[in-house]
Amino acid sequence: MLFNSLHFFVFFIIVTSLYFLIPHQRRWSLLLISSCYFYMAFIPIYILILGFTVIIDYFAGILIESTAGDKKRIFLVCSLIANIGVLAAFKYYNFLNDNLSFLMHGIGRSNPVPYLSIILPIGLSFHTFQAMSYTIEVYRGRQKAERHFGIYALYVMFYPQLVAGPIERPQNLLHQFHEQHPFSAENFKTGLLQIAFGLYKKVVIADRLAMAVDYAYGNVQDQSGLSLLIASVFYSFQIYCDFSGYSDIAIGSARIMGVKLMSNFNAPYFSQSIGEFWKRWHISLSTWFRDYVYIPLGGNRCGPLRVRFNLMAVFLLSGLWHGANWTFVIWGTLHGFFLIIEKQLSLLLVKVVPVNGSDAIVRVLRTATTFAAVTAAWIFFRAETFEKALVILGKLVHISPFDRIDLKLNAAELLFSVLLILFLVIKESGSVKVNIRPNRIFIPVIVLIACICYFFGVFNQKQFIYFQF
Amino acid sequence: MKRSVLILVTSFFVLLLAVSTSNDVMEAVFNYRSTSSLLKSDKYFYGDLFGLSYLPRFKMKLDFATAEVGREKCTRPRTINLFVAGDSYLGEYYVKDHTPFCGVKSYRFLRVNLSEVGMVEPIKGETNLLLVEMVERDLRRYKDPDYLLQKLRIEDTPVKLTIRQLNAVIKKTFFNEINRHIEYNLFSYSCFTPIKEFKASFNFTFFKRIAGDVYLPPDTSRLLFLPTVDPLSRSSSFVSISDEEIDAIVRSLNHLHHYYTKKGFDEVYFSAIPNPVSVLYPGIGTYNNLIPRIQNHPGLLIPIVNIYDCFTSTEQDIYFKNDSHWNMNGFTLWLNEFNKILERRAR
Repeated sequence: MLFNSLHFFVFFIIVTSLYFLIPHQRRWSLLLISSCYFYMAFIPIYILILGFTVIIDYFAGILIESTAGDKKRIFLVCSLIANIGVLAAFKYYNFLNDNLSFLMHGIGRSNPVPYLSIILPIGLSFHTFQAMSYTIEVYRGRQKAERHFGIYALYVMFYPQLVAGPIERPQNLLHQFHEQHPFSAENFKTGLLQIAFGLYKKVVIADRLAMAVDYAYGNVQDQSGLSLLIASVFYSFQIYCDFSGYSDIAIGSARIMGVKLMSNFNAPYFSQSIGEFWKRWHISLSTWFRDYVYIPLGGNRCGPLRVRFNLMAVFLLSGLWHGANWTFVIWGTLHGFFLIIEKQLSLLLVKVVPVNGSDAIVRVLRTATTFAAVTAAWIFFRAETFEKALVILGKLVHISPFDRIDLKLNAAELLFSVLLILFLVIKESGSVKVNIRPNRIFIPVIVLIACICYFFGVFNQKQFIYFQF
Repeated sequence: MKRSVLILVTSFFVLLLAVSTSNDVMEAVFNYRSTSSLLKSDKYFYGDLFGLSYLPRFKMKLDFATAEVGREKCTRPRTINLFVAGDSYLGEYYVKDHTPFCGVKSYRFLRVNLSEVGMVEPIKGETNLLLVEMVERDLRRYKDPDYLLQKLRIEDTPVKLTIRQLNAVIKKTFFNEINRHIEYNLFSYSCFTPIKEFKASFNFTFFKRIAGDVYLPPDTSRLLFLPTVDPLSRSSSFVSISDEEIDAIVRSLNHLHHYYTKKGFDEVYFSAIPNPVSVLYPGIGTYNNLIPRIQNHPGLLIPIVNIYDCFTSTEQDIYFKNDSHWNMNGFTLWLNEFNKILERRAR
């Protein structure tokens, strides 16, 4: 069930209305059943996998809390093995087997290990990471083990963030399911507006840009450098609008019911460095890696070489988290490299040319450089293969302003797409602020966004990019 | 007061979801609304391709007037039992009973795309013919031998519920075409058509873009079903098809022929209806020649009703401009070809 589908529209109204009609004690069961229904709309049988991890981690949490020492650690390791095992089996098995086949082929042997004919469960990496977050936090003593099985299951399966995050922490989410949330007009308005804007980002911007991007990246050999450059810039905005649009709808849906999910994006393309970009992009994942990988590895509190190693390890894992493909690994590695270079350069620049950070030109240059680096890395993320990514980069090197532009968009649609991006940039910059709280403004704004979505939206039932992870 | 409104809203949407979930109820809704003037939908009334695109210039009522013009006369006695396992090209808009068929006394139509296809049983002691008809865009299904077994229930395969099947059953029971059904129940009313037409016109005028699975050919004279044109789609006339796949399709068809003749049918025929784009615009891509390659395959044993050659040589307009199906001219040409075969059998 996609957020940009009528099925979700009907489902959301039913669940939200029932939520406020039934007593608080019954709400967890309503949300849990709804979440099961929501998940089963994708591939029904995979609910069993989700059930498996929920049961394992529920009992692991209780056992971890009630034991100490080595036993405690063993229960944590068992839980992590179960979670990572599911991830490995469904997401990485065939990838590893592919690489084994490649190596075996290199030595003239055939690979005897069979391939698995499976489809990746939707959002597996998201809910697995959220489940792992729970057991780790219980282990660290920062979260009490949840005794209510239904509430714990809801923590993993809460439908707004089940398939593409934000990856929540138990400290933020679990207690909210115990609390009573009466209907609040403030929550309703804030949530509905966030849903509307998320839908706008998805169907008006992301899915329109996707038509050009899919066309260009689908025929990289026939495309000119200029077409590929435009398509790559479009992709930067497509993936942002797609993913942040999803997050907005998720956060807004939960907000209406009084549940506050963590923010996942904060105008990332205004970042002035790669380091800052990762504080603004997919915040729930980057903080997950910071808390559970980077800091346990030593973080910044070790020698410069070790810090670099830690950074590379985190970004390599982040790349792998996104997908079982070398293109994602390279994407992650590139970000790791960028960060290391950035650290070196900033040290050097501060010594050689003291730059005033508030200088507008410097800020614009930094932002543009960061955006260019992020866009270059997205090429590997979007390209189907490493070879195709290299072809694109090769064509970008030989770019000419006289190249033919062929993106399956006419001049009007190309211009319209650019205007959409500009509007987004202006909105994200925070330079336009309107108080929409009064009903006389709120209702027309919602109606206007709905009309824009209907008339300018692309309704091709295109799946959200991050669902595949 | 607020609570009562909330209960009312919830009840409405629960009912909507329940109706949209059930395939049987939706079929009843569809049948009811197709005859109701109050709840009429324009989705299929002006052609399925108009219903996908809502481009106002293609808003034309489909003409199914069964003019006898061009239909060749037949004087043979009616002795044949004709069974047709076909798709919408031979649906009830085109054929209502046995009368258009030469020498046919009884006619039974089995919709192969629907699940209620029963076992086809020939009538003992009489002439029984079976025609298997399918549009070109669906032909590649035949490369999978299981397709025949499932769709035509050729063999009494024991029911063994695997996880994959269970998954398919749940999906089909609770989530089959649910978005299309909700759209039909909520927004597919004549009163919404002007808004949809405005949106379609706006997008076409400014962006030269058509919504839905619709393609506008270079001469812009008609609409085509996009999956039959898009070379990346398996239904396309321009998707590359290997010789091995053609061999597999032919093997399936031969298997079908063998099975049903063994079962007691006097003859089994196969007819592939060309995609409109294959006949009208084969030059907008590289036509994969799916139908000619099957029909001219040296290993093909099943007799065919060849309409491809007839369609590609005729000057007549044989397809609707706003629908993916043939018009009555196209149907009549096909009928004449089939009746020539039936006439020989009725002697």
